Amino acid sequence: MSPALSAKRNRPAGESLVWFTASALGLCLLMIGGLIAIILTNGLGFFWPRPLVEFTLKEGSKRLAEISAHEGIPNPGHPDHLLNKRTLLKVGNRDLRGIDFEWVNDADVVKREAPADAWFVERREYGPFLGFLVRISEGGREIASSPEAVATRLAAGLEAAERDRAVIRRIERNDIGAINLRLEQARLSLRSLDLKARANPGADQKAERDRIATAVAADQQQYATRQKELEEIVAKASSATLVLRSASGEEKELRLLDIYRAYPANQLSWLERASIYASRLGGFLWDDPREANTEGGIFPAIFGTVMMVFLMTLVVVPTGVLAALYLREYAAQSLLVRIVRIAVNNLAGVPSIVFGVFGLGFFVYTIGGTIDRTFFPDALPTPTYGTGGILWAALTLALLTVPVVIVASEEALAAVPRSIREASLALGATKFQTIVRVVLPSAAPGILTGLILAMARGAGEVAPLMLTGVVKLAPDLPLDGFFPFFHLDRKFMHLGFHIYDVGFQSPNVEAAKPMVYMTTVLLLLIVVLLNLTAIVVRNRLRRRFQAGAF
Amino acid sequence: MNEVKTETVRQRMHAASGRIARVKAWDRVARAVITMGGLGVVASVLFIFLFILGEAWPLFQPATASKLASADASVLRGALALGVDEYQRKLFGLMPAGILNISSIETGRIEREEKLPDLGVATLTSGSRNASGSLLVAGTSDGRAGLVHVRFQPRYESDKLVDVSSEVRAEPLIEMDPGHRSLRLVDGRERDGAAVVVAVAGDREIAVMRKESEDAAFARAVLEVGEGESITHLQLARTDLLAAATDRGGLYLWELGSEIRLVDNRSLAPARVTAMAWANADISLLVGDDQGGVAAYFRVRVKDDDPEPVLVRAHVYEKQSAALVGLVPSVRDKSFLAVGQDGSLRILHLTSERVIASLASTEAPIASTLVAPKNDGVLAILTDGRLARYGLKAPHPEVSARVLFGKAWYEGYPQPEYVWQSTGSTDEFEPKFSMVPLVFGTIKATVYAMLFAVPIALMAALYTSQFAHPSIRQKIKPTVEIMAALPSVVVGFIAGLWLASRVEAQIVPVLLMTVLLPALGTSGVLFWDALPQRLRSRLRPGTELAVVVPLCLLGALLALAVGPAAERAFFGADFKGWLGASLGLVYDQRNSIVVGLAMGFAVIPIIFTITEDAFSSVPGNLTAASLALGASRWQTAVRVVLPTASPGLFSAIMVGFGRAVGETMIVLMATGNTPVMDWSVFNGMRTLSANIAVEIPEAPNGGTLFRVLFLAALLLFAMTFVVNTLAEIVRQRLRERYKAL
Repeated sequence: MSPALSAKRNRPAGESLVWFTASALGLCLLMIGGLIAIILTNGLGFFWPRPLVEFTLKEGSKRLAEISAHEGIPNPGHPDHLLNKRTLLKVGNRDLRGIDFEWVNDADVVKREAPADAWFVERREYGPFLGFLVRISEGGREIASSPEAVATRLAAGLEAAERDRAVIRRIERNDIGAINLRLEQARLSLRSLDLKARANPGADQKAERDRIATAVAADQQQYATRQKELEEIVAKASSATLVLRSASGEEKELRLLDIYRAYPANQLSWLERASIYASRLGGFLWDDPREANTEGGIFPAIFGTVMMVFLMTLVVVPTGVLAALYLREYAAQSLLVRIVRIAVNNLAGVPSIVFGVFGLGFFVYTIGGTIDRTFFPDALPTPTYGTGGILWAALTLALLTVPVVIVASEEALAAVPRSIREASLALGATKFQTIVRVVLPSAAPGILTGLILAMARGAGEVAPLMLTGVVKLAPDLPLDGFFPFFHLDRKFMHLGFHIYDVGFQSPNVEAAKPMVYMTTVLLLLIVVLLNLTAIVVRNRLRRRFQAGAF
Repeated sequence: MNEVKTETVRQRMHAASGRIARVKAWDRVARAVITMGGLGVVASVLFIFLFILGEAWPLFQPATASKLASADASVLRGALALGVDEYQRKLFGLMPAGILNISSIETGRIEREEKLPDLGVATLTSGSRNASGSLLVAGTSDGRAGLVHVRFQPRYESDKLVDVSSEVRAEPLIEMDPGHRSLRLVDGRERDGAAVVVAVAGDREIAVMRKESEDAAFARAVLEVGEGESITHLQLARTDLLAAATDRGGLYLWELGSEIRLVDNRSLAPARVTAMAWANADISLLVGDDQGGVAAYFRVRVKDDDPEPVLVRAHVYEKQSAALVGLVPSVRDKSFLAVGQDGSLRILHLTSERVIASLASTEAPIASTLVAPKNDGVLAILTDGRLARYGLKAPHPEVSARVLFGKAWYEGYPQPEYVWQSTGSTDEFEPKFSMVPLVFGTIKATVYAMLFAVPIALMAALYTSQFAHPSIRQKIKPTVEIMAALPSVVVGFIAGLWLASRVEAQIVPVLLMTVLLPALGTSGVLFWDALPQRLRSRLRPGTELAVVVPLCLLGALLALAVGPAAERAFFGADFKGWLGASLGLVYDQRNSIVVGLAMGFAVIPIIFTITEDAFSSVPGNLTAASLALGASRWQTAVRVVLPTASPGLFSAIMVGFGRAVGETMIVLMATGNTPVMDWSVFNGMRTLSANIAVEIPEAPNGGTLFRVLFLAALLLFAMTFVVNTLAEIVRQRLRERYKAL
């Protein structure tokens, strides 16, 4: 054997090229990991109370702020490009200075310190207030002015404010909401009487009209009382105020009612920080959004997403399984069925926006418009079902995801061994009995996998929803205490659309970004968990079939 | 219990037969329900396509024009200028006797007569009406001109139109001709108090009276056309352009700025202008000649360095069967009525150059014509005093196959172009519905995404299926499946808000990476090759990943570190400035690089999964044979597995392509959504899908934009359907081939 040949033997041809393919896979994995890492690092840290730093600038002015970012100053074309540094400060106090965030060049800073008595105050309007406690007063009378006393009083006052807010919300939502609903229904009944009168001019409607008029008068009376009651509560709750001083020395008076949370950022222990984190996270999950969705919680979006996926599932399961049963069990395996199968497969590849367009044209305008003209003529021209709503969105998504269920169910049905079927048939069961009692139970895990995948796809899809009923703000949930409880015509909020809307349509993107990251974390969590479940179910299934093969 | 025991077989059979019948009946019912349900679901697939097609279809339908019963309009016979109200209830006309007649169309009777003031013994000799309809201009036999405003007010009773009342206001007469000759031609315009009146008394002189504001006095100017020519048509556009045509085929255009300038003068001879009008918005001049030709002209700077705009003949329309006698613009859109001498009536559209409708001929010769202000009808007063009426339904005149898929010459553009710009602020806006920039954008986004995704997905799949350790493989597949399941809104959000700004700040390192990563890989491979066998065998085949991932990271970090220095060395420390100065390219923050990366990210798992499936289902006896013959695992992969599975590869790329074509959220969030048409990686695009998402919320149901967007959806549907079907067929073939092996 010549040495050259032996060297060649030792090095299998192209062995090194394998490395290229490996690096491609490495890149894929890095990208997935990187994406998830970006989302987690940007999102999860947001609720952690960070220390407040007071910056004294060269020209003498002061800023109290959370540090948001630090980077080199871009100055293309000059040698100092990116060499000098600057800091992005979250200064808050938008009502005083008009901006939330401010870049400060490090060269301009003469002093940085962390004042122990600096407070971070979350309030209803204008973003957070960063400053120092001055005094607390009630009904114009000062009741505390030393920082310690104010802090103690504030804690009690905030608890009271929380209770007041709950009462106010109950009155606004439940009591006044119900009255408004009745008034609206009365208006619609009157309109429907008008329509009837036009169609049939002779009919006597006096009794009917009188009845409505009395009811309306009673409701209006009640409305006035409730409104007055509400005003009294608000007035009473508004009397307690907190005066804060900003770093630049301006004083600002806030109603305690408007303050959601306040903490001395530089005095907190780890435990206190963790509890604030938990409370903020809880608020994020359970509260309504505030300040054009940039603050508060995203509960309506979570609820809307879950509700929409639930509705979609209700539609997609029977239709998908039915179609799969037909294709696999009943239809003769002809060329036609092959074509149909290809068509169904392809439907899964049709862009989601096309489904959205179809949903808008067919469900919303054609079906919805017909429903409105037939059942809700008194509300026209205000559309009831002739506009986007959760029902139409769910139906559109059902159409979008039904191929996933069909394909998965078909595969699951095909995987059920022929022998089991034949055994059932041989025992005298009819085909339907065989399907219901033997085939479907065996195929159930596979169908379930398809369903979970469909749910995951449905939860993450946004484009078709934008055309069929998702909105940026819908405080009225599609499910509430008013008859008929399920409001399928209502527009809804959605996590995915929330990400798009707050991240790209918000007037204050910088302030909204952390919220968007958190929403993304939540959406990812839902989708990834659903997918993992599907993968686990499928793997179990595979094992079972492997074991059960005989 | 006892009873059961004592049952005879016969009894039991009898009892069971009922149940069996029931079960059998259920079976039949179930069969029917499942068959119907299944077929229904399948039919709905087809229905989606048909529905979208049905919504887009009316775009290509011709307009419907129907002849309505004619009415009597003899009271307006001989009118010098005519008009109709928005609801087609009243006609009004300037009569030679100096009277404005308003008559009911229904009854044909005069309802109001308004004598022009200060007329004395003079009569009216000429008249004109603004396209917008509310201003009439009258020329008198003693050289004066007057402006008359006519306005109509509808009156509703319980949502029903009951009557239209009129309001007439005549302004004092203006002396146009000091010689008190009778005015042959007259026109006038008013705008924000400024007014212009033009008139011709003799042959070649135009008298122009202008005032800047409501209270100012009229200033006089005189314009002349060439020697021996006689002016036949005179048309004002707004208060700043005047067009005139002469009997020798001359066409003159003056700009009425602070001073009056002749901006164009050309001869159309041997043709002679026999009809002239400004189309809606007063930008395009419609000219009809004695040979049946109709053309539209407008002024535009053809080259960027043109000192001033020149008049171009932008549109030439299909010839009319006889000389043109009238051109009447619609005030709703860019369509206009062309009237031939032989009584032919055609409705043409300025931009799409379409003949929207040809109207049936009238019973008697036409004296004058009107287009209803709502563009829903045409009225013609015949020489016998009757009024011929046509109903017109032209819902989408601005769209034609040429406008959608070809170049069209829009007002203000130097040449025909592909433009998408669907909405403007006013009715006078010329909508531009070219699908081409959108299709281009879609393809551009897809191509860049595929350039990134295909090599990576392909190599990754090859590695996973052929070289990776089976335990790694089991973990990688679910990971990639999760990658596929990431909602595109998440990918788009990260691309638009995180990646875009970072790519912008680090553009040089990013460009560097495309070179550095492969270079690093190659050198790493060479280094590995040079290592002695003893060291190499330490690493088990199939675990290369442990080394490669850190290496990739290292390459990226290296690029970031070297980036600023490279930018200083090669691009004068300002890459964007360099880009603009030396390549003439503009850098957008949300550009094709970002879209390519983000959409590539979304497409990789799709291509990966299908390719990996195809690779790993290559029958084991083939690879075993290859390895047994002494081929290396790389040789086996490339020469045996790859060719065998190539149809699967093709199908994977097709499916990935289909996904990229239809992706909406990523493009929406990661590009600026400007419908530009160039291949530069440093700017964005607008795709069909993003365009639908952006525009459909503002498109009224059934309107042209709405239907054009449905057409876009149809295009997307068709594109992906074809591609996916192709992929599916190829995949099924492949499956059969594997079965045979």
